[in-house]
Amino acid sequence: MKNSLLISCFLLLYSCLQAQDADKLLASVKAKLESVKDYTGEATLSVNVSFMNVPDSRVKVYFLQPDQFKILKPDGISILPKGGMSISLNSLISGKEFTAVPAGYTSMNGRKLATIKLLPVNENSDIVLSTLLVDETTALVWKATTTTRENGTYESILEYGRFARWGLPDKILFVFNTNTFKLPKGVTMEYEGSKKAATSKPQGDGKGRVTLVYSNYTINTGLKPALFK
Amino acid sequence: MWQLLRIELFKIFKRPRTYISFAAIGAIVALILLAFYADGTNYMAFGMQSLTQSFDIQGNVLNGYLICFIILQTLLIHVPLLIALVAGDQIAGEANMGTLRLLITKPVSRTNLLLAKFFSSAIYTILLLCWMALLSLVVSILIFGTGDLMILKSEEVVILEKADVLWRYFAAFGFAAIAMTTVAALSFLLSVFAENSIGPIVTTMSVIIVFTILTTMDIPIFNAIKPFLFTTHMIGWKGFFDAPVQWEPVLQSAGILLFHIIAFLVATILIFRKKDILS
Amino acid sequence: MQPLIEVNKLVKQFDSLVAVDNLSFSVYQGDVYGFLGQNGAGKSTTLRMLLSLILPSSGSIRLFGEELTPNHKSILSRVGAVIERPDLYKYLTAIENLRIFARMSGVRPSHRLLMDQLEMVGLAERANSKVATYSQGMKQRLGIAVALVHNPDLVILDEPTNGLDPQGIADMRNLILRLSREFQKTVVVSSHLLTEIEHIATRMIILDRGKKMMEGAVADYFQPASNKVHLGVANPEKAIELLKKEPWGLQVELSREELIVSLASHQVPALNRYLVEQGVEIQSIRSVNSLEAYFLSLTSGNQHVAAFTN
Repeated sequence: MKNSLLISCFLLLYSCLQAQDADKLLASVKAKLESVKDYTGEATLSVNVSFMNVPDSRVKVYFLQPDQFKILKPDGISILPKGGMSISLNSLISGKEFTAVPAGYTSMNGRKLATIKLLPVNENSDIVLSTLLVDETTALVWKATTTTRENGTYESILEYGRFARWGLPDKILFVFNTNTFKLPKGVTMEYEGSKKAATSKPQGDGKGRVTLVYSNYTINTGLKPALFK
Repeated sequence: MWQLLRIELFKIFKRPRTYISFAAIGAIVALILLAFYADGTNYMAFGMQSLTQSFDIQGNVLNGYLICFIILQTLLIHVPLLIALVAGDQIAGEANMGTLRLLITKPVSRTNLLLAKFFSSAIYTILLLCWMALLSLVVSILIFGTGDLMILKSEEVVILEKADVLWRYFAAFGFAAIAMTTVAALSFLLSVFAENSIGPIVTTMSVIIVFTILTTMDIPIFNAIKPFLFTTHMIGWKGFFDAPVQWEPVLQSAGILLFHIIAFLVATILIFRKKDILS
Repeated sequence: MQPLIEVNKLVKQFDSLVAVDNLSFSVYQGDVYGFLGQNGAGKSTTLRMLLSLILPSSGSIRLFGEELTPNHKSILSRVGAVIERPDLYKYLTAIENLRIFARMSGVRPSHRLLMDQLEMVGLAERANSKVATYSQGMKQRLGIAVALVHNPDLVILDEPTNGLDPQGIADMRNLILRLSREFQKTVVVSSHLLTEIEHIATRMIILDRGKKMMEGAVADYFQPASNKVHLGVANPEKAIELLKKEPWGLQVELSREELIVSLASHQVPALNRYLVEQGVEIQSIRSVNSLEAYFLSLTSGNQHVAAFTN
């Protein structure tokens, strides 16, 4: 009895300590991200969705604290899944309140990463749960999985390089579900030749992928909120 | 031959009915442009509803290129009527007017006369398409500018880079010229059998409507005959808006249409050479 | 002399109907050759075969000494024609119509020449009016101008007086006579009216149901001697006696209470006066051409006679 009480106390203390560690880690991730008030990124956007035929394009990516985020193709059309804001960790995490829950460690590409689950404090938040895989030494998030109320689950896989000290990735692979999406049947006549070509394309795994490869960032130049209107 | 062609063109372009088609296309294109200018954003919001529920689309979707595509898509189905109006009149109209017998008593071979008449119909068709291209492409671009072209198909959404669009329109109009010349050739063939132009015009349209219905209906027994209907291939111009263009089916469609043109024309000549002119 | 048109054993069959049946005839240079026959006799079909509008079922057609079928281009460049109604492009002006058909005939006449041509048919003042505004007679004259624009040697006119008013008919006759006499054209003209052919033709052919009934010089059939006068009188014996005596000295036949004598039609009033003066009571008098008489024998009903002779 005495022992079990002792063990319980220990476990409680341990988990509190662990939660404290998770909070600390989240804080350091946030601190790193929040050091970027705004940025303008130049990137190549590739969209790989089974029912979309979009060429790779040069885009500009804009971000402004706390969660203003926009991808623009100058003079052209860009198409991104709804909730694409979570493509940017900055807009996902910056300025938001979360309860962080530790979930142990995992290994990705030979890198030991801490898993933290984030539960939003605000009950009306669209985000239900986010899971971050964080490198404790650099406070860099290598993978984020976000479940939303409206738009399903997203997965971001990030790679860092030249802009790691700002917490900004060189490459993001963004994976989302496309199973539920149905294109409307066209009312106009379709060309049989095109149909044959389209049906011969391999069916996807029900997931869409968007890749952003950044070539450059311009950080904290004082972007105007009007840009995001 | 050149002389005959010039005479036939002179006759076509001296007739008031020739300009009905040009006026009709002008009016339709002007109306579509006006509608898009006034309320294009709402139309686009409605048209892309299903897509914007799940996706964010940034940029100027409603540009001159898209409007030209929409105009082609809506208008090209109706252009055969305007083509038949002139091509179906070529022989039947002359028979009705009573001028056919006068033409045949002139020292020209029936084959040359028919070729001149057919080529003048083809030239009319091409000029009509040029007029359509000028209005729908040039005017749209002047009003709405250029940009990437986004096309919603039933199987995929295609976005074409701005710089990668214009050549596709040239190719599409070229293909449409072949498709519409097929209509002209059919009308021309039917024109041999009639002594007033209503018959061939109505018959041409009936054939196209029936074939188009068969093409559109997704019923297995009809699907089997689809490849043999020329109307299936007439919308091959849309193939140029695939990325990348599937050249094989597009060229095959163009070939099938050319084959139809030649077959219709040869049939017309063979029948007309043996025909007694009783009108 | 080589005939300008030589038709030999020509047959045209439309399904079960034989429209032209084993027809042979010849037209010589300088002839005004009349085709006479009722509607449906095969006149138009024959003329259309001469112009390669209709292909013969069998038989041969030679024009200008050449077979028509392989040489129709060179032959037709020497032929001008108006077939039935002279329909032209209504949305074009007279001069535009004329220019188009001249070019189709392989000539490029100057504006002046085209105007001369219109002048000849009395349409110069309306040269720039749309044909849609023309009367039937004007269209007919323009049709003739179109037929003549390339200066053909042979002119074929199918029922050229159809639908014309009396003045128009007279104008057309004069025009045909001018073509023959002044311009030395060979003219082939068809009509269902005997009087038409009588006034303009030098030689003629009569068709009935596709067959040739007779062919020859018109003068032979319109000789005074060939005119028969039928007299209905109350006292035939006295009349016969008077007619046989001087100054008339006529051969008299008696047929169904009528006396028939051969007499030129212009002498009929004088004969009438003489008999009345001599106390013969005349109940009826009518002059019948032998050709008309021939039609009577050709056709069974009176309706046909009326059609030919009115």
